[in-house]
Amino acid sequence: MAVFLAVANRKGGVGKSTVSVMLAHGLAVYGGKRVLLLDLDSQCNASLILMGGHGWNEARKAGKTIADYFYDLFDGIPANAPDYVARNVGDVSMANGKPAPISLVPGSLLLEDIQGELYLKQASQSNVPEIVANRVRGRMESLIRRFEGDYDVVILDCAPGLSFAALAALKTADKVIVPFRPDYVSQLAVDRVAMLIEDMRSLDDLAAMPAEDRRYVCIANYVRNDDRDYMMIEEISLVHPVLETFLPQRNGIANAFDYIGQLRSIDVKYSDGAGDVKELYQEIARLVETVAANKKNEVSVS
Amino acid sequence: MSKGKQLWPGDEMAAFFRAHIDRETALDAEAAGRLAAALTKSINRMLVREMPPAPSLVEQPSVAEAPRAPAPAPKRERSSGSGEAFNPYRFSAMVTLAKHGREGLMKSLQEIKSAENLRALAEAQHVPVAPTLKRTDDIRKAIIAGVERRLADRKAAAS
Repeated sequence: MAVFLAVANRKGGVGKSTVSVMLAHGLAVYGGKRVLLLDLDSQCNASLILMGGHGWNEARKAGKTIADYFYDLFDGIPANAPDYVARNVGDVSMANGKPAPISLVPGSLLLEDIQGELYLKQASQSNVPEIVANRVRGRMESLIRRFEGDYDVVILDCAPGLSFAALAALKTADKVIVPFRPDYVSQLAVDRVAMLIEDMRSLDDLAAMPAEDRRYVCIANYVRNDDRDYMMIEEISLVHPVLETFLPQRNGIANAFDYIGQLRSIDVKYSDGAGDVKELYQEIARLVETVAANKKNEVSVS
Repeated sequence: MSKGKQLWPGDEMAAFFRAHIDRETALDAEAAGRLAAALTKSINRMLVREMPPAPSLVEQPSVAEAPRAPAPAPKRERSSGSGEAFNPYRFSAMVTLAKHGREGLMKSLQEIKSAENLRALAEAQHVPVAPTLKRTDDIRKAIIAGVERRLADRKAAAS
């Protein structure tokens, strides 16, 4: 039974796709997990990082993207979810030289258009916007869950904003990872997305909720080694759970997101950022294990 | 000139060349490493008059043969500011107010003795303080009021 991790923030440019890919690499290479990444962002950055432009284009031509998946299966057209999955993607190898076990449902530039079409389709069955929206989101949620049995971890790389796909991902996720930049605008964005995830009306109510009960955790990204950034992280930690691990601004990390189409070790790919990936993996692996154990218990109780 | 800063350290340059050599050629690892190291050395020599790198970076021909060692993550600790230039981020006024209340924040601010440093902290932490205030105690009170407004503003933005 897979653990679903959504990587989300309504704000753009905080590193959702890069964190998603780092998580995929870390969990697959260090943890030996079978990882699936669903690229729910029409910018398709995670797909380009993992497949390169050519591979992604081939997936588009073959009609094997996340937009095709949602569109084809929305009305129950008989098709298999695994047919939309590209396997062993990325240019990172395991210690034995084999490709890291990372699968991907590639992103699509058409994802936003498709969501509009699905909304219009549903609108013919009800004239209450909220009901229509909930149906679209709910159907997407169930389509995302179809991958549950085949992977250890499913990473949902969300687009900025609140599309139906992003809302479905937030609902589906066992844990939401919220990357942020240590700046004032990001602070407000984290407050907002956290309240949405926990369905809270005020920041005071959210702050009163024990951190261990929260379904989300934040991670500071692009951190400069200076006091101003550390102060911002502390201010965000005032209300939100924040991972001990943070991702500094490093050339090794920035350069790792260029697909070269040739397998290499995770240490070579991330260069001086390899330690950051490992540290991130170690902290997230503990979260994943806790969630997986809780899910197992829930199943055995029910 | 001798104190120029190397903007592209030798090991990063070598790793960059090595990645391209690996991608574009079928050279074995040893030959690719030698070529990357030679290119790095040559370019470092060209740049030496403008930006001399630290000797330890240019005199390591084998650096391209292994991936760059992961850099340790910086520690998330702030300097106290004592015994050095005043650090306007020595504590977060917002966090201090939220955790220890007005009195707690006033206590922390009282450790800062000069008006100039109080203003520097306010400026750095985006807390408005009227420029007409001269007395340190008035500036401290203004900082507390300003931080309270910032906290209220954050809550309003999230509502």
